[in-house]
Amino acid sequence: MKLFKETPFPDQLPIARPDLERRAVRGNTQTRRLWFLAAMFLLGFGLLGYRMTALALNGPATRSAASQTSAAPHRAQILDRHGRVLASTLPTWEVSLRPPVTSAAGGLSPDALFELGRIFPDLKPNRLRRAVDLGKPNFTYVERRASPQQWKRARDLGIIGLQAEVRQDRVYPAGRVVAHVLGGVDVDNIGVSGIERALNTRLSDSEQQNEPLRLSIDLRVQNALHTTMSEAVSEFAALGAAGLVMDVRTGELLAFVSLPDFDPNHRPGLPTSDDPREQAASPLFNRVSQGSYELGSVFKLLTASMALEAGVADLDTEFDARFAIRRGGFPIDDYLGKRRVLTLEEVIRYSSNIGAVRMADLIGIERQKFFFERFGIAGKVPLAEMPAAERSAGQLPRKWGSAEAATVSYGHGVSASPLHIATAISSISNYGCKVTPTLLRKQPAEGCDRVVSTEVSAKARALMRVVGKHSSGRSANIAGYEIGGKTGTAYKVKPGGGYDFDARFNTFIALWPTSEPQYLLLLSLDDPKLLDGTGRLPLAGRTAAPAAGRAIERIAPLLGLAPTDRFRPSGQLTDEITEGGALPVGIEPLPAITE
Amino acid sequence: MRTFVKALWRLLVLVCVFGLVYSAASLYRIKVDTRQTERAIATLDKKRKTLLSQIDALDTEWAFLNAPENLNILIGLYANELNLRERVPDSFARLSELPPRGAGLNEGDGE
Repeated sequence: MKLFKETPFPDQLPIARPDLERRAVRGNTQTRRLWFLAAMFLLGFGLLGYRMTALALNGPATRSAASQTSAAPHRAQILDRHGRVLASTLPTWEVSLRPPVTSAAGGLSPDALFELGRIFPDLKPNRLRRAVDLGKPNFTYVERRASPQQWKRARDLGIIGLQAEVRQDRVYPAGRVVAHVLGGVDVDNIGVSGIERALNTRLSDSEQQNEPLRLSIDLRVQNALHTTMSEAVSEFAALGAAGLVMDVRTGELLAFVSLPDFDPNHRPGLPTSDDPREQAASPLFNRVSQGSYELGSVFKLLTASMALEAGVADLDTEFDARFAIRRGGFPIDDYLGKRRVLTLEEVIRYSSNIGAVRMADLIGIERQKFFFERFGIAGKVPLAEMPAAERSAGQLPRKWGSAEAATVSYGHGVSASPLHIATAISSISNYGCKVTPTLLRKQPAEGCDRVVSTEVSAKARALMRVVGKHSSGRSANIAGYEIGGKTGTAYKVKPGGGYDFDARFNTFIALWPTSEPQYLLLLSLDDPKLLDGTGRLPLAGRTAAPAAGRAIERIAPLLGLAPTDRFRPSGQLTDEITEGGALPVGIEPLPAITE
Repeated sequence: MRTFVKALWRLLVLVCVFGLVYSAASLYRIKVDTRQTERAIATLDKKRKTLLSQIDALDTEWAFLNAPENLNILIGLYANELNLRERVPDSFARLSELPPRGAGLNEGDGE
């Protein structure tokens, strides 16, 4: 009997099967549970994974950020080339008083005021007492640069209203000796002049704050030059002085001094007057790179190098210097001229203006312009470590006619900073390879950006040696150092135009040893006077040159340079030069230059 | 068989739950350790910075003590007493110019 046991519709499920329904429902529930569990596990493990990843990836960054935010604002140290500290940042306390609070708490007792005066010697107690008595202003400084010990002593007095805030203070241990190199910072520790301004980004970079900035300056050399220049300023009653020592192989500046100077720890205010003379007399004025002066006969070295490089003259080429010449309606004559025909070597030896003009005639105006460009006199001095405002551009004649070409040949009618001319002479001396001045430590450059040939460089150095040994530079001739050089005496230009024939700007450029050039020293004196009662004119050979000689005598031993006459054969090049004789050419083997 | 599979599933679920709890606990422990390590690093970093700051301060103080102006004052005070001499070109000597060993120094030399 299959009655009612078989459905008339075999493909359909039985209509009523409660067990199957229950099973189906349970199955669905279990599936949901499984999905739910899987989701939970996925979520749980996902969370764990996320946290682990977050810990692994974000942990160090968070830590780093935390450590950075906890660090106080800082500025990298500045060191000299041997690691001596020139500028550093120290925590100091800015101590202040809130007079209304102190007044409300019963005022300031005489004893407390007396003690504050003892702790802070620069404090004016009366000012503080008046402020407390009046209960105003709301806030007044007691000491802006207190040491931690001073603040501790002041805090122990228990004065209500006395408070302090720690700040990072920039200090300059070497003081005024390196003032113009370093410059200074404002109250927010942002560089306002010198290297502090030009390299502000590097010095305040938090990533590099523990990496000191190492300069090319040698503090010993800097101090020797500073001392010598200070003595020279006193001896010759000069208005100021500019000086530098440069390594001609690398362009590194070992010393960079401008007088008058200032103490960067107590920086003076900017000059209030717009008068250029007053601004130039400010101790903040940087005479080495910012000042622009007519430098006189040192330019004759450039003229001679141009003539030699252009191939229009050689050392024995003769120039008629018997009579004064007229250019642009003005006479051009020699000081104590020889009144005869001079060779090129004699033009430099006797610093003949007439000879230099004759040389310029041979060179031609266009070539003269080209060489001034090549020597870097035309543009701003390329010292990247000084702010643009502290670097002057050479002032060349706007209209360059035959009169201008003549005066420019002996250093008049053209203005440049002492650093301009030092850079140009360094480039000529450095076997003719261009030198870029720098205040940072640097290795000699690969290759050679040539400004003159090695032969012309040798001849120019020989000319310098002639002046250093036999002529106006002989007062700078230190035995055994093969010092070459060139003097330059120029009348100062009046603010309204024209020359002041009572005021001079004297310069001496020294190079040593000339047979193997290593260092160049420039020393300029602004308006020096000879106070020896002889009535002689204060020419560079009597003022700047002897001062430069004293500086070299101090500096050369510091640089480890032993006198050549005792320790190695003296330079063949220089000792073969005889009084009035022609110079031998190409006489020394020159080191190979990679071009 | 079905019961066995069911038990296996339950066991798997338990293992997963245990694994999850264990991982969470481990992660918590790692987090605590990490925080402690971070605190230790921060302390060390702070100490390092303090030490660096102190070294900077000492360097600076040394630089102040050795500042040219200070040294010039000291030279003025003690140049005669200590027989201090400026280094000049004549200060250089060849090795052969040094006195032979045992030759002794003249009285007053080398003080």
